[in-house]
Amino acid sequence: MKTLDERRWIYGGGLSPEWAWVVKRRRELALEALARIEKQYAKAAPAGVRKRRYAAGMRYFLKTKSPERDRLAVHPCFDYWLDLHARHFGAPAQESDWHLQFGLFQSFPAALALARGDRLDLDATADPDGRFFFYGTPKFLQAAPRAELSLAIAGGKLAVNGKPARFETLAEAVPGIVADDRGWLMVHGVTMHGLVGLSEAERERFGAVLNQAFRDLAERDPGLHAEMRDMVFSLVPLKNPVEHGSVSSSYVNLRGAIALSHAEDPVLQAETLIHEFCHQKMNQLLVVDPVLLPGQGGQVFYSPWRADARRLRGLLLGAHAFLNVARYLATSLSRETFPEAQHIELMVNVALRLNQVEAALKALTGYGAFTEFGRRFVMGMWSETELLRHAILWFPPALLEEQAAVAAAHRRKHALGDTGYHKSAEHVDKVRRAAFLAPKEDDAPAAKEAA
Amino acid sequence: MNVKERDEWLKALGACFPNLTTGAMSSACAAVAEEGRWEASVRGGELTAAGLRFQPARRGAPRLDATWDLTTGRPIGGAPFSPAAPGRRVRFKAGLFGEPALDKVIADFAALCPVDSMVLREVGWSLVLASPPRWPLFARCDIAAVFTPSASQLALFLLDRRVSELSFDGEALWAHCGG
Repeated sequence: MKTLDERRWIYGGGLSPEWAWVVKRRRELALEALARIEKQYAKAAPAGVRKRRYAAGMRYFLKTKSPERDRLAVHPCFDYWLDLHARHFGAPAQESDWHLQFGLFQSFPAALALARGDRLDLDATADPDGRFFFYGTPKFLQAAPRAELSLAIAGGKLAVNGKPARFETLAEAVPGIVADDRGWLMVHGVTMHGLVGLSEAERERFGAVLNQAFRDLAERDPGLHAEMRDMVFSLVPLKNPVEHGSVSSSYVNLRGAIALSHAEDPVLQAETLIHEFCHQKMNQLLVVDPVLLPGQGGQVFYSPWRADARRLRGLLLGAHAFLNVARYLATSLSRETFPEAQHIELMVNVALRLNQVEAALKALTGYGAFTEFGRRFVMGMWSETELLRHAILWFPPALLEEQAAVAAAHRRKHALGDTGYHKSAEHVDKVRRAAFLAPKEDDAPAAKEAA
Repeated sequence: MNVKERDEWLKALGACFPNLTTGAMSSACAAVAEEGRWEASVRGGELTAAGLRFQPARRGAPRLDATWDLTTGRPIGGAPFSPAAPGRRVRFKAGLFGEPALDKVIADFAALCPVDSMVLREVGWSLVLASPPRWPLFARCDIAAVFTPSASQLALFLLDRRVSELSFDGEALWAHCGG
């Protein structure tokens, strides 16, 4: 496949051949990276590490070509494991780090052998919190921190250090997507917001609201829902320390994991899922097309969403995510009856998002240089933004005007004039401007002086 | 001599940096009676210095390279006139520095803003741009990140002027802008 169709990437395009091709490319890159690591391990691992049967797990995983293996190779923890290796094994590492890194890897071959009913004997290491996960399943073992584990797998059964395994399980929001507040490889990289450990009842509630959000998504945006079910493996609960509506994050080295706080409102949870998933989807798309040509991270631009600035890539991801959110909310408004206050709140949300997306697209098209696909993608987003304006023609005009004014006020405060540049807090406008007939109060001091 | 171009830069400098004592410099500038190109220069990092540069058309003619300390408003250094800075001009190609990280940044930059040639000096270097990009488009490039802390301030001074050359003087990156 050579040419990507931008239309299927702007909104959810479902599990199309193009989607499968991008996932395949990501998987190939992950397996190539693992093959390189295996070679390096054979050459450089300390003797004490090589005594343990870590190489057996890597070999088994690399040679067992199967749909189960292919799924595991795009698991977020696989992403994170490769990233940890890249960050820590470029320079000489301590023996204990080798045991942790390669002992944790055994989660993948062990899960694969269990799923396939293969026979596999290997050595593994429990994570620093004393758990050992079987990725792609909700199962895990409880052990001592960094415990050495000897695993014997056959016929779908597991013995640990000679005894039948006693599995514990994570809750699933929907089949195949776990609510994971405990996996070390999963939560170690979640750094933007505080993690929260949930009680059993809280875990259940966290999963139940998300389950409802997924069911709504399946009905209102089946394409996006299908992609999400294919890519996302884990939902990590976050703390919401100051009772914001919601806090959430996702990471380029944890593709397939979404971190979000609990909320009782399934529409809010769906909005958060869509937002973070769109970032994940774009991060996955990067393996075949960068959209923005490389080397454009030098400048900070006005962010229509916050007081701080964004690079061009941030504007691209933000515009894409909020366009999807706005469309989902507009669809929800037309399909469901909400209490009046929530109805208005959702209309306000859609109207504000549309103005913000337009502001981001303005800066992107004004300053960015794109790949051929990237140009089509951004032009396509402009088109979809315009079409969404039609979809909300029934909104009260006063509400639309109010939200346009809110967006304009934000722009006046944080953008440099009407450009896409961010106006820093330290910015002092001392430039003498051309005089105008009736300078306004908020004109620069120098302009008043000149007048 | 393009007197209007020179005066335009002096005016822009004076408007944006009211502390500058440009009087003496104006006289010095007036003494340059050669055909050439006037450029403003800005230094990366915190916005602490700016300059005015005259690139004579005639080889070997005196050039002017005046810089101001923006905090005190006073000129930096001694006599602003100097012979053309010695250096070896080479056709630009990727990987000239032999430092992978720097070469990558410059290769990415050259893909966005084609580079004509490079001047290698004992201390520092210059990249002469083939088709000078306008400042707002130059500033998006990774190599321009050193100007980010003062982006909004510089945008008022440089407007949409073109960046003709980048130079590194051993301490800081400078961007030289034409009309």
